[in-house]
Amino acid sequence: MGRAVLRRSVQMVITLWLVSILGFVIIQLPPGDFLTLLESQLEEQRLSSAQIESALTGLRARYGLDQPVYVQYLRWMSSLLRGDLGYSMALRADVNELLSERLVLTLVISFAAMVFSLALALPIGVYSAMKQYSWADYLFTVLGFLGLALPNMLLALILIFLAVTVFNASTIGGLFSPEYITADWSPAKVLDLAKHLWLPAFIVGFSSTAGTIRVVRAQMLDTLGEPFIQTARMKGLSENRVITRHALRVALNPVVSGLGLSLPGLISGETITALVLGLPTIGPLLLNALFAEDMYLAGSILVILSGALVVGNFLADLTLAWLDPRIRLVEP
Amino acid sequence: MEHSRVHNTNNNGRGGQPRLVLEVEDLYVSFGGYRGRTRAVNGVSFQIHQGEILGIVGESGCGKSVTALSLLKLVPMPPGRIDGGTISLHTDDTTVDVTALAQDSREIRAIRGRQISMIFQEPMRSLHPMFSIGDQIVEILLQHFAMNRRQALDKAVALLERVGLPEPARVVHEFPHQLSGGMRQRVMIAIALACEPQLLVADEPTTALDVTIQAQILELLQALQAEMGLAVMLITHDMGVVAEIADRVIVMYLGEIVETASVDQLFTNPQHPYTQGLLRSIPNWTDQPKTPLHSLAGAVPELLDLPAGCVFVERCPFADKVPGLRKPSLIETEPGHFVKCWLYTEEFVHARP
Repeated sequence: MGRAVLRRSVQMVITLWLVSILGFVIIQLPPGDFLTLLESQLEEQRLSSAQIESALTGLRARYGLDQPVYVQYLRWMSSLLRGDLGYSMALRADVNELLSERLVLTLVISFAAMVFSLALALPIGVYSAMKQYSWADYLFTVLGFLGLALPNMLLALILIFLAVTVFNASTIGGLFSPEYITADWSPAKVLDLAKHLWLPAFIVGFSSTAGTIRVVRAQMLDTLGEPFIQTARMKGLSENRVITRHALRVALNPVVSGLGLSLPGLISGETITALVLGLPTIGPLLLNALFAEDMYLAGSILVILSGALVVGNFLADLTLAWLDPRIRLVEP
Repeated sequence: MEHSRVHNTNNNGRGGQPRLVLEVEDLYVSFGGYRGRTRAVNGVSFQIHQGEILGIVGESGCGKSVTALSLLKLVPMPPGRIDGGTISLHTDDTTVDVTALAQDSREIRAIRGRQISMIFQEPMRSLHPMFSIGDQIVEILLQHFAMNRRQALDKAVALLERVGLPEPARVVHEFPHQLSGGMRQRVMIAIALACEPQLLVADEPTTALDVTIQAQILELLQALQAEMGLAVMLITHDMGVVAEIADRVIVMYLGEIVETASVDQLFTNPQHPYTQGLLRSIPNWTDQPKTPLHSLAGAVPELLDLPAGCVFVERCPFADKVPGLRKPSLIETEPGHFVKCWLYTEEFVHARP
């Protein structure tokens, strides 16, 4: 077990390193760089070409853009290893500073969405399987497919519309009440966050809820047909115990491995929702960074997202090994 | 030799007769489907006594497994439904009609695993893949007996030893995927017999195992049966297995009992044309090489489309000589030997070959 964890950790580091190279190269692919954009902006301000040229040369040297690509990568990488994500040229701020609060909020929303999604999907999935082809099963199936088909941001728009027209909400969207947005963190601010959290969590988690219901239902149906369920009933166990202890336990495996893959999906899935709802999370920041060819910011976010994917997968595998002895005992 | 076993086990019934454990009377079970109801079991009646091994033979779809599952009320409902009949389980002080109990009721759950246990066809899949062997035995013990986990685990080790597993103290901590098929079936038997039930239903317990292991499992069942004075209902399609360990045999076809007799009677004097065909289709090692294998003519009709009279009429070589469109009743042709066939009525005795 310990060796497996160690081996996986080494694999994770290598994967992340490869991703950082790939991410860096992809950001370099579009013609021009951040300064090309800046140049056109300066031109609009009617500066002389000599002034522009000197300003650009200075910036180019400062950001290291006059160096070959691999040198740029190595400089970024070495600072990354020291925990410094670099400097955002477009926003003129340290990437660390830009990301720290947004990263936390993004994780909070993703986690809340995941909890919400599981809390809803597990019972519904199990119920649908046990009452297969009942009217409730059909209802949840229809809702489930609606949830899968409906883009999150459309759901966000509909809910905002309803909130404003039907419930006369004065503020909708955002993660904080206006008075707390710039305030320092305090218990009151956390409470305010909790009050605002349910809507984005619901919206972000909605489509994955629908997907998870389908998975849980199908898995439960498969498992309930297994002979070991018959054995459990033969022992005289109550149907509740047969379902929760014997069937659900086996049915959960693909749900757990799905969760490991869902973290980056939740983060990227919330991008458009975050734009619609005005949430201060990572998604919109990445979008702008990509538009502005702000390579250190974009590269850092890509590495962090991949990190979330790799770590999520790793956690899912550990959980599976903990749940299922068949996986635990396999030594390659 | 089978009969001696019946007699020297418990005689706490009337007049030296082994005690009656289970009595099935006129059982009807059907399943709903898109194309109508399928009648799986049609008017089956039989009894099982303490210390007796009752073999039930018949091909796939003849209703033998559904009959077995009905005893524990384990037929999935819906789509399954018990349309009629009673299943009376006699315990020391009471008699319960299993058909009248709700599927998840406390009463039926007190019977499952405690009075009647069951082992299944596929030992590879009938143990839970994620629980240790010990946990799976402990679970049934704690369900029915007041004991703590420690005591239950000790009992589990003892049970594993009793079913002949080597190193029971180690196996108890292992998981099903670490055991072979034969070992898993032994574990299933340990689970089934953990609470010392009166009746063990074994649904094709050796079908998925290879031949040497089959023999071992049958020997084990036989030994435990004698030791515990257990009643066993052994479902199989293997006439060899029946000949080896059963005391009495029921032959089923399309949800009905077509013949029932002691093992000796059935093998020396098979009466129903279906039984005769079954026995003739067993390959004989003394046959000349290239002798064609005997097979029954025709195929099993669909359960949705049952013949109105005798169930075997479509495949019976004597069908043109008897009123096959009317249903024959079960006739006793010699003591303890019953057959459901027109050929054994006085009226049609001349039609017999």
